[in-house]
Amino acid sequence: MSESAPVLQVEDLRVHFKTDEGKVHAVNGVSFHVNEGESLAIVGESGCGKSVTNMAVLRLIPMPPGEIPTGRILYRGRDLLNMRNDEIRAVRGGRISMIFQDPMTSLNPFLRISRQLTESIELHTPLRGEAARARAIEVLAQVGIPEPAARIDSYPHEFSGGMRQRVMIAMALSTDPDLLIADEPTTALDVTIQAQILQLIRRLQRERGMSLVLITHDLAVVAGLCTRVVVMYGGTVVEVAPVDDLFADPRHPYTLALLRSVPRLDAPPGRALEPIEGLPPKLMSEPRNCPFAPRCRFVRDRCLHEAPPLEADADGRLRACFVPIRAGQAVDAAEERP
Amino acid sequence: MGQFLAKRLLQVPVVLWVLVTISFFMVRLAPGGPFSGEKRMPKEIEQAMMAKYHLDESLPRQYARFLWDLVAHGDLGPSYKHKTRTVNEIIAHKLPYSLTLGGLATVLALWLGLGAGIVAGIRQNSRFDYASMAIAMVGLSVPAFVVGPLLQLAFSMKLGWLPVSGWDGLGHMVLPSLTLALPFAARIARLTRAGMLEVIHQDYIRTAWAKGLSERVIVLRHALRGALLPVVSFLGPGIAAMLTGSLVVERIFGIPGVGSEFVESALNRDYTLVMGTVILYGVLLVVMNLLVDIVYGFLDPRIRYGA
Repeated sequence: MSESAPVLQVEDLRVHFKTDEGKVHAVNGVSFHVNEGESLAIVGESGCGKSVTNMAVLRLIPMPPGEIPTGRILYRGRDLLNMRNDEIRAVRGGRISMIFQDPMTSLNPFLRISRQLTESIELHTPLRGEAARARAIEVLAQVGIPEPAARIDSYPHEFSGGMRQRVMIAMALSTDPDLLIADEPTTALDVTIQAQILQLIRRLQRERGMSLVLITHDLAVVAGLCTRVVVMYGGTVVEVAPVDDLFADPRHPYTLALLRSVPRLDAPPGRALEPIEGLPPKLMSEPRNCPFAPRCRFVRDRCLHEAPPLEADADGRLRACFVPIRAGQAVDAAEERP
Repeated sequence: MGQFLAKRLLQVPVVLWVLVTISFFMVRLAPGGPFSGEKRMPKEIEQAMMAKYHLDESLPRQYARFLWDLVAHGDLGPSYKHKTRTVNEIIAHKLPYSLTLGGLATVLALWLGLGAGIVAGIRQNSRFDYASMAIAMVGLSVPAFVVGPLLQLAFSMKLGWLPVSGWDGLGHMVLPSLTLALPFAARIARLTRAGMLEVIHQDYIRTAWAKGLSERVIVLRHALRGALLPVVSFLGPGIAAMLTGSLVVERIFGIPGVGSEFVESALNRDYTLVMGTVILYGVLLVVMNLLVDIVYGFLDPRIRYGA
């Protein structure tokens, strides 16, 4: 645990969406924090609420149909959810920047790169005109765009996917934010480009002492980049742990299953992958049980009637599960479902 | 861009030649002629008239003569109905009325249509959205011969704010240009709203929000261009149609524009005047569509011309 106050603290966040089929409970009481200079991963499968949680941080959830019935999102002690419009706008892109999954669609195809970069810089820093442009060229160089001075007036379609994601990163970092939220920044890219982009993010984060929240479903990405991991399932946080501990000793059945479903090079040949059977919950109602219970191999009666709270084990590891798990086994194995 | 423009400019005469040729022969196919009216005129006089206007020649010869006069002298020939005036004179006299009326209607249609469309798009399902789209629906479906008299009834007869008809100063222009503009404003509003709705759900608009930009900047700088592409396509034929005037609006408000000539010349088999108005509309349409293509190039940098 860090001594200094966290940069970002999310407390009991709930996000609902009204749809024609009913109310979707996308995020159900999520709490986590991001320490100064830390890189935190938020891991989970599609629809677990990880993106929605982070969209809520910058109040980017369209309301309606979205609503945030409870929760606080504290940035350096101030609740972003209660901020006036001009205050939250100063935080967006200024103190907290976001980069998104698909660089092919996240840049405006109608505007030159220079325009898209300088508008952020002019909004959030004292730099104007030529100085803002010089700053834009500088950050393009930092993210590894060759000949940035010549290419700054290009349009997005004149760049490849990897280069566009570099431009997105340059845009996010041009204002010197405290916190970068990267929502699956490499999912849409070729594998070779993925590694480059991740290295770039890691290098820039270290150089700047910036905090990072990396949202991903890719555990390999987490291992190389992050120090702490929040595992989400069905709109809740199911486990929080330092990255090494999580990989060595997962304590939640979902984390365990997730790690086992990943192909490993050091596994004996011929060993079958273990998929997680079943489908993630639909979240059409307020969960009254453990959201993972229907797919859990350790499930007990209690899991079906009660939602386990996120609580610390004796050694301080946070997890939301009624079943003690050590080394991939329920400790009181007698109660395991046959 | 320059190469594209040159290519498109070279196409213009070809398009117009095809238009002229087809319409020349089509009017002639219609039964009757310029001098076959209710009153039969003596055969000798009719023959003399036919000879005077070369209508007794073979069709190919007439066509060649018409094309030569048009290309070499820009002369559309004499009107068969208005015997003292040439088609050039008639158009030169009437076109300014139509251009003024159409120009005003264009400005009104753009102002009303874009304004309503943008606000309705970014405030989807709001009261403004429902109200403006309901009005647009009315504007699209109620014809000018209903809208015009209703406006006259309300603003001229009841309220007495504006003159009923005639063409003498700005006051006279308000109701006719509004009547003419309404269906176009409605189309523009609906296209703008649809375009806006599509664009504001794009990822790059989310990026713009995440940058902390104000809604104003997001709408005007980031969303509007993309949203306007379908509107711009419509504006080519739309503006051409407004500028050439409308028989109905001109009739209701007593405006001596070319719109009436367009219809009347066809009914009168006034061959040369038909050709004149068709060519006028054709030229306007071709020019407007050329402008649309150029504007498109400025709006969307992904469009590459020339290849």
